[in-house]
Amino acid sequence: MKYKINIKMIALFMIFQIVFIGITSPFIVYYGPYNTLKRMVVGTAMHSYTHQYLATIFLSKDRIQQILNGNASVETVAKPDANSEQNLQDVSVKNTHDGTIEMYNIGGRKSKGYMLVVKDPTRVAVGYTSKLGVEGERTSDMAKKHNAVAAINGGAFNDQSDDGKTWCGTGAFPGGFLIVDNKLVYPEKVNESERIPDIMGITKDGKLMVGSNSIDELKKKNVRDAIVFGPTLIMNGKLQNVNDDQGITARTAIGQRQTGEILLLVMDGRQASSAGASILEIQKIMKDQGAYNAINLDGGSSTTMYYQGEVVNNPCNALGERTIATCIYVK
Amino acid sequence: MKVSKRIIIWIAIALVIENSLFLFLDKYYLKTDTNFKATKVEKEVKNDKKSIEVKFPKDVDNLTVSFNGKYVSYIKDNNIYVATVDTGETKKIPLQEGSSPMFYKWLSDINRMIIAERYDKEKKIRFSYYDVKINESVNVNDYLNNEEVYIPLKSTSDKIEDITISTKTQVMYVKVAQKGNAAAFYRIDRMSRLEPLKLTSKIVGNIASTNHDDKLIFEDSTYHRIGISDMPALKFKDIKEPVLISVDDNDTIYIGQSEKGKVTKVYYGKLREKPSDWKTYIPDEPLYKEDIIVSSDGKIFADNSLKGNIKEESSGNVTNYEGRFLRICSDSIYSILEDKLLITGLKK
Repeated sequence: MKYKINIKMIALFMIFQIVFIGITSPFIVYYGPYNTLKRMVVGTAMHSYTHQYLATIFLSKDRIQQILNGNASVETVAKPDANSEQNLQDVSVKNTHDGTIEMYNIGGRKSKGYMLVVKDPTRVAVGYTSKLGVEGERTSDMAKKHNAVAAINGGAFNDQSDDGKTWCGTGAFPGGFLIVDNKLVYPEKVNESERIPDIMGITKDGKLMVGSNSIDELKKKNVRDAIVFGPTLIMNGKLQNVNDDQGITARTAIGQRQTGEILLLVMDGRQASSAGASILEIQKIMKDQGAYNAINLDGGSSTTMYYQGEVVNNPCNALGERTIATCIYVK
Repeated sequence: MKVSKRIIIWIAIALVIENSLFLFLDKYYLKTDTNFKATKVEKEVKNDKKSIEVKFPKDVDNLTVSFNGKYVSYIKDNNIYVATVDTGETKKIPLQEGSSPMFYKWLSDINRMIIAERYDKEKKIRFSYYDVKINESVNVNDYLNNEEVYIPLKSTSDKIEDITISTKTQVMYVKVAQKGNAAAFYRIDRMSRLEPLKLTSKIVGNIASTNHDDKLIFEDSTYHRIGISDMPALKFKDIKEPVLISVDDNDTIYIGQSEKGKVTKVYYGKLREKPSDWKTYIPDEPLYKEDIIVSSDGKIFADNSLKGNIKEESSGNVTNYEGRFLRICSDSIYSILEDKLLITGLKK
């Protein structure tokens, strides 16, 4: 046999490979035997806000849900125990005159990030955009406004722009509700007895609140600031049963050790040097660093850490830090 | 080669590439990572003075700096260690056999410390002094009357909270913190005679004494005033909740007006001056009494540990510093950052 190998053949070969692989890979990923890969891709796509079509074109909603649940049937998904109570008395706040903040580089196989350990938890508070209802603000700008030495992005926000177009707004509205300095800042009226499955709060004496609470319950527990996000990763020292269905991306989380130190964590994502971390991985990092209570915060393009005057992580947006509704800052 | 055969080979190659990639991602790369490394980011420790590092172990008690900043000492594992700042050398001080140091205090004018200690299983607190030059610890003994000098311990949980030292009268006052908010007080004079002191107040906070007077000054939390042993208490008209901040080497006493746990105004003056003649200082914002520092020569400083700086009252000079504050002496701020001593010169 004679092989006619010339430039034309090589070019044709390359084109064939690209086209063939391009067409067949979605089918192999979504219908093939690679379950971890499948779950990762579907999870990441569905939680990316802008790229959900990557999954929805090829899979039905039911099938997507099934994959995210790890191929278990929809009803048997492990749900975190919504009725377990956080034991706030287990946490002791001691170092209230210690201005020390420690910084750590966190490195894993496919993601890297940073953690700040704040010795004095009474310095940690929730901040929000000064143009609430109109425009969001960058984490770094909110931090500078509060003269904060450190800050991370906070909770959920609604991303609608003026003309109702989604995903190009600026984070003007916090998701759920927002309590700052013991006042309900947003919305004007809310059902205070409704239990929300995951809330991040800080009490008047610097204790981190996680897990499910209603606003009434938060008030009884002496809450000072609270935002809505989740899932709760660790409560009362125990790892929570989280559904690892969000794929990998940049992540932000907050935790507290039993001795009171607050842990602020960001992991970069969607870049070559750091593809991203999964919810389970964030849980592991928090556990490794001794968190007694920990909760996941908003990730993806919102993930930002500001420390000593500059943004220290690499937010995964082409145009840098995005504007959001709430942040957590350190006085 | 037939086109169809070529296409089959090409498809095979494509499938191999795809599946190897997906296999790699599925079985290795995308698996939940359980191995995360955390490496601490070390801050650059900038020392104004020499580049000699003075390091401390973790979890030490009673970490204090001597009067002129030449020595820093601490208690660890039942021993007292003294580090020489100029050389970075640390050595254990020689204690008498069987001694467990409970507390110690540097004198305000020489590099000597008074040590309160317990011997073996005795329920007594005894005293020694250690002078860096002599490098020997000597028991405080009552040679005149040949009596033992000790404080009886009511319970093993009793602790020495503070010792005030009056350098000119050579009298010491000792506060022993007992269960609840109870405390016992003792006076030891220059002849080492020890006697208990009964104060009118049941709840006593900070104590202090001036160098030229044989008097114990104390925060009287029962009657909300500043008490003085053997003298009428200091009464200030507008202070409801006075706190005792400090006494300087010139016998000036510093008292704070406390509101909601923080000091909003500082009054300072001498013991025999009328309280209405005392001077006042209002800090920029209310401060915890521990954050108001008076240097031995009488300068008032406000420690803003959250902002990492100290502001001097009379000049308004602000000096930035890092770490946990220890002391101001020899025109510098001594602090400890990540177990290392940091000396930052005060801004002039």
